[in-house]
Amino acid sequence: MKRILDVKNLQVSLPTPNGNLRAVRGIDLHVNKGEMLCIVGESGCGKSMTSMALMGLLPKRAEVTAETMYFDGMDLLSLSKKERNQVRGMRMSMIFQEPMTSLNPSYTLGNQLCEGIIKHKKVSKDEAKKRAVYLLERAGVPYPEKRLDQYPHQLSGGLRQRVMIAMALMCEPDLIIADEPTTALDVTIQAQILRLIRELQQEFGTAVIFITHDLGVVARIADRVAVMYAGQVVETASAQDLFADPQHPYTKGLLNCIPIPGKTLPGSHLESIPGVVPSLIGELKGCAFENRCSASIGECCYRSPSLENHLGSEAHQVRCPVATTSFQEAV
Amino acid sequence: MLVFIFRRLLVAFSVAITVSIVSFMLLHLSGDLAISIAGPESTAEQVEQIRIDFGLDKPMVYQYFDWLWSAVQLDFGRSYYFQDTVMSLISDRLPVTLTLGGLALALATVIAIPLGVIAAIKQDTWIDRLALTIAVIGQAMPSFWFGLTLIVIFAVNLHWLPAGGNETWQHFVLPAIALGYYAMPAMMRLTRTGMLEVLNSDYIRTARSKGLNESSVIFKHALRNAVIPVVALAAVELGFMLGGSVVIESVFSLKGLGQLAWDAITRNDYPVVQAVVLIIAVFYILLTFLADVINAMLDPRLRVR
Repeated sequence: MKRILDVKNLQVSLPTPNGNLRAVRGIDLHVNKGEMLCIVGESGCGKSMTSMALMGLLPKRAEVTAETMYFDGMDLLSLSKKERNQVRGMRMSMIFQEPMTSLNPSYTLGNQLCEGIIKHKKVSKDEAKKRAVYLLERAGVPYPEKRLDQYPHQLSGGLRQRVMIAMALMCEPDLIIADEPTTALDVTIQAQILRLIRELQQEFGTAVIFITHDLGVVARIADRVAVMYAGQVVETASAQDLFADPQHPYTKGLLNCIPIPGKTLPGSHLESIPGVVPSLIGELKGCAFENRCSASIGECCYRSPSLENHLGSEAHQVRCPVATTSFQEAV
Repeated sequence: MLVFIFRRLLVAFSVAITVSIVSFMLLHLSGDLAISIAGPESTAEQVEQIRIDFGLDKPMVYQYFDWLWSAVQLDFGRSYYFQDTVMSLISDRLPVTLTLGGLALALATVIAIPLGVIAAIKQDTWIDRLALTIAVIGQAMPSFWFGLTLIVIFAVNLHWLPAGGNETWQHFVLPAIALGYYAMPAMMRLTRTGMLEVLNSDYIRTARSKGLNESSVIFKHALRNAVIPVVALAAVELGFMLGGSVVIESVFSLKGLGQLAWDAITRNDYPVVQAVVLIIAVFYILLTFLADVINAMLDPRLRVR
C-alpha cells in the first residue's frame, strides 16, 4: 500500500530553564493512503508534539529533526516556508482538541471556512461557499447556508467541532491530523463526532492520524495503532492485533485499566499503572518504562530497547526486550 | 447592530443628563452666587436685586431646567470675568483643543499600534526592548519638559517650526508631538500584550494550520482581536487630552480649552467652568459611545450586550 506519510527518527526538543526537554525521542511512523492511524498515550508522552511537528506548527524555539519526513514523496523538512504553507492547509489539515476556542470569534464561519480554499485553490468566493455548505451538511450541521453568516459564539461546542471537521476537509486533503478532537465534548456528542470522522474518512478516502488517550476510542475507529510512551513509540500494530495480542507491558497495562462491562465486577478494584512518567528533560538511561514495569529484567535499567518485529512481522513491532526474548526462548 | 447602537445611545443620553445635573450643581455648591457676583462691597439690597435679575430666587429645579434649556441651545450665559459670552469664548478655544487632541491621538495611534505589533512578533529581541524603552521614556518624561526640549531644538536652534501660538498648522506640530508621545506608551503596551495573548490563542493555531500567509495570520486574525481594548483606551486618552492638556497648551501658548478652564477656575468664573465641564463631559460620552460602536463592529460578541 502506498504511504502518504513516512517519518523516520523524528525528534523534537524544547529549551527550558532546566535543560532541553526532549518531548519526542526518535519516532518512526508511517500512514498509508486512506488509513486511520491512532496514536495513543497518556498526557505528556509527546503525541501532540508529534502532530504539531508533522504540521510544522511548533514555535520557532522548538528544534525538530528527522532522518526522513516524507509526505507523498516530498521531503517536508526541505520545503521553504511558502511551500510548507502550501502543503499545510491544502494537502494536510488539522482538527484540534478545543472546539470552543479554535475558531476566531471575530469572523463569520463562512469567512473562516472559505479563506483556505480561496488561497490555496484560487477558487471564487461562490464556489468556496458552495463547498462549505456541502461539507457543513455532510458534517451534520443543520441549516448549513445560514451558518455561513453566523459567528462561532452562536454555536455549541459539538457544532463548532463539526465546523472544524468541515473546515479540515475544505481543500480535499490527503491527510488530516485530529488531535484529541472529542476530548472536550460530552460523551454523547463524542460518539457522534467519532462516527462522523470515521464515515467521512472512508467516504473521502482521507488518511487520518487520530491522537487520543482513550483506548475505547481506538477500538472503535482505528485501522492501525501506535502506542507512545515518553516520546517514543513502544508498540505498533493493526488495531486487531493490538487488542488481541498486546506485547508491551505498557500496552497491557493500559488495556487492564479499562473496565469491561459484564466482566469487571461492580465495586472491584480497577487496575492502574503504578508510578509516574519520567521527566523528559535530558537523556533517559535504559527503558523509559522500567520504573513502572512489572516485567523488567536487569538489562532494562541500562540498555534502551529498540523497536523489534514481533513474530517476524513488520506490521507488529514492540520496543521491549522481555516481550521479544520470551518469544525467542519459546521458539 | 441597530438595536445595540440605540441602546448605547440611550445609555449615553442618561449619562449626559447626569453630568449636566452635576455641572449645574457645581455652581451652587460654591456658596451664595448672588453675593459672589455682587462682590464684597455691595449692600443687601444690591444682592437681592442681583438674586432677582439672575433668577436665583426661583426653585432649584426651575433654575436647572432653565439653565439646561439654554445649554441645549448652546447659550451658557456670560462670563463673569471675560467681557464676552461663554459660548463665544468656547467656540474660539474648542477648535484649537480639538485639532491638538485629534493630531496627537492620530500620531500616537499611527506609532503605537505598528510598534506594539512588531514588539509582540519580535518578543524578547532587541526590537521589543527598544520599543519598551521608547515607551518607558514617554511615560517617565514630564510632558512640559519634553515640550520645552522640542521648542529649544526645533524652534530656537533649528528654526524649523514656531515656538508658540496657534495661527497655522505648523504651530500644532510640536505640541501634537509632545502630547502624542505622552499618550503613545500606554497604547503601544496594550497593543503588545494584546497581540502576545492573541498570538498564543487556539484560533491563531487554527489559522496557521490552514496554511495562511503570516501577514494574513497577523493582520486579519490577530490584530483585529488584539486592538479591541486599545480602541477603548484611545477614546479615554482623547477625552483626557481634550480636558487635561493645560500643561502642553501653556508651554506652547495655545489658546485652548484647557487654558480657558484654568483661567476660569482661578478667577471663580463659574459659568465658564460649568460650560467647559459640560462640553468635555459630552465629548467623553460621545467618544465612549464611538469606541463601543467600533468595538462592536470588531467583535460580534459585544453586539449582544
